[in-house]
Amino acid sequence: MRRFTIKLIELVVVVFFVSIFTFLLLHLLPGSPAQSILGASATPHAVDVLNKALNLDRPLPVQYVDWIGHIVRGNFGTSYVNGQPVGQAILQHLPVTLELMVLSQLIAFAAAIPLGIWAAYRKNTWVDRIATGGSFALLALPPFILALIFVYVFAVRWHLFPATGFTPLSAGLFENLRTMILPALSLALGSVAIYVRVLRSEMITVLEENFITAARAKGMPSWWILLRHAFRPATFALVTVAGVNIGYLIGGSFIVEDIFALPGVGLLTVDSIFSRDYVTVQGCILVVAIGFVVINFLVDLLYPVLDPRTRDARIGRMAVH
Amino acid sequence: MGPSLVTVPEASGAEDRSVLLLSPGLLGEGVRKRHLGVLFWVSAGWITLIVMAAILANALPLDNPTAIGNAAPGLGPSWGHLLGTDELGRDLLSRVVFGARISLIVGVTSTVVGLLIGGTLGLIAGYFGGIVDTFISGAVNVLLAFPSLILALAIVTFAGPSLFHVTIAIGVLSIAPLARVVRANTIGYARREFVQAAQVLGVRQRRIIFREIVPNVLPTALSVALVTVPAAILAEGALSFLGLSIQPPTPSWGNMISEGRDVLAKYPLIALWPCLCMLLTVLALNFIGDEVRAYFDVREGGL
Repeated sequence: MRRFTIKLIELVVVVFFVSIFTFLLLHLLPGSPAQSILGASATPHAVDVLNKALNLDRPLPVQYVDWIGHIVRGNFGTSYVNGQPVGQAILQHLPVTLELMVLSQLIAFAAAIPLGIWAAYRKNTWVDRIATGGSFALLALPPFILALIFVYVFAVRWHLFPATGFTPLSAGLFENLRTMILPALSLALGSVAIYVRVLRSEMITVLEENFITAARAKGMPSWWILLRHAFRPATFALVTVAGVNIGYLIGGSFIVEDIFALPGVGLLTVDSIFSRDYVTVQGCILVVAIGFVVINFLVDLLYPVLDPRTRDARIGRMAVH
Repeated sequence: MGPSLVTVPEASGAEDRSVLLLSPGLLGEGVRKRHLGVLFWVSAGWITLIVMAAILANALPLDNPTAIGNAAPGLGPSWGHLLGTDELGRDLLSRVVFGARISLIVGVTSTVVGLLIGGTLGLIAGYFGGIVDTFISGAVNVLLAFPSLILALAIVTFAGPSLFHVTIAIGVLSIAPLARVVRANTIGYARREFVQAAQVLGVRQRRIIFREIVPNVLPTALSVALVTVPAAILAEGALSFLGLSIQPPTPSWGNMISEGRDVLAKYPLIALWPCLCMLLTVLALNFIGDEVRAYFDVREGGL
């Protein structure tokens, strides 16, 4: 319970700093933010009006409190390009991004867990070499290159899947998956590579432990040792990496959405960047960053469940001093 | 497949007792590879080639990478244009070589920043724990709280796309992962018997950190740093691809891939070359990182 409280305080602090950073982004804009938002052709009067509307003429702390006050109440501001409330735009685009990420992770774990365990168990055999070598090569292929390869092979050459575009779930699961499978795959393969490598090396470490020797000495079958004794401690690292990997996924999903024209938060952000719709960009970045913080907070809470050794971390630390 | 699949696993496999444990008799007695494989030198050769080409780009007999109309658009590879020309008739070899500059500058500079700042922070946080750890971890968590590419994207979007801003933005990215890895490793070693022994013997904290912890943590930190160079190259590529790094017509691999994507069905080669260069460079750097780690015997296992 104490651990939970500490983690919760940490969460609040991190969210606070994330919000400050996001808030300050507008002030990174060269020159006056209002001028940048409205463009070079804006009249001085229009700039003044926007300065007032965004509170930009007030001291920074006042601006921040006002800004965060609105956000807490769900008001992310209004786009100066199309007049749409930013919060509403984000809500409309969020489900596509979530579906993309969940789908890619399902693919990634389904492929990586058996591969990683097998590669560790059969270390230095051809299975291991293909799994290790393959994941090694995949690490060098960012989502945007994978996406281009998939588009070229499966859409341009073979016409199996559409190159771009999105069909919502409401139009049928099959039609929806047809537009989602290439983007999800582009995003998933990088994760597969990371998970296979982590799981393999973790499993190898765990398999060196004495309790594995003991289990083998007792004559337990290999598959039982692997799944029951070795896999669980190895998942500790896997979950950590999966949590951190979400950051990579979000970045990847931005690009993948851009390439496949999927109407997710990534596409909204990228489009907004180019239409100089800075208020929308700011809102998207805040939502994405806070979502990431919260997911990692949940992953942190999972540690003691998975790995009992971390439950006495504080005692161990005190012993050091 | 090439021999890469044979040498990719860590070279010092014989030391892993797990191999003997789970599949006894798999390896011969005392096989202890203590040399760098052929692929290491191939990788090193490729990196040398890219680095030299990037440095000497102006002196090499290359076409102007931005001059339009010197040749027909969309030519295939020929003696005049080894890699062909793009949709505007610009020489692709020249553009790839000049594009390498951007990737390498950003990759190396940002990693040095990350290693110095992140490594130090991680060591302090991991060893001392307590309030120091809470403070540093908090700062690192704030940094990590931004999905990496989004942090860079945010900085570059609002500060303006330029090489300097991109380098800074990606440099900031590598601080947090390095700090986190070093911290996690330091915590692991700080509770080991040999460290506790030193503590019991009354060895000074600073000496313990430098003599007992750093030598154990450094190989991991360096091997991660070797991976952040290619990661930075990929991040720059992604920003370039989105049009947020150096602006066209100045070539970078990312913006070349982005331009090639628009004519993918007609001229697939235009996107292929920069993709291939990025892939090979990142692959070679990753591979060198792994080999170096194996060579210096950074064990996968525990003690």
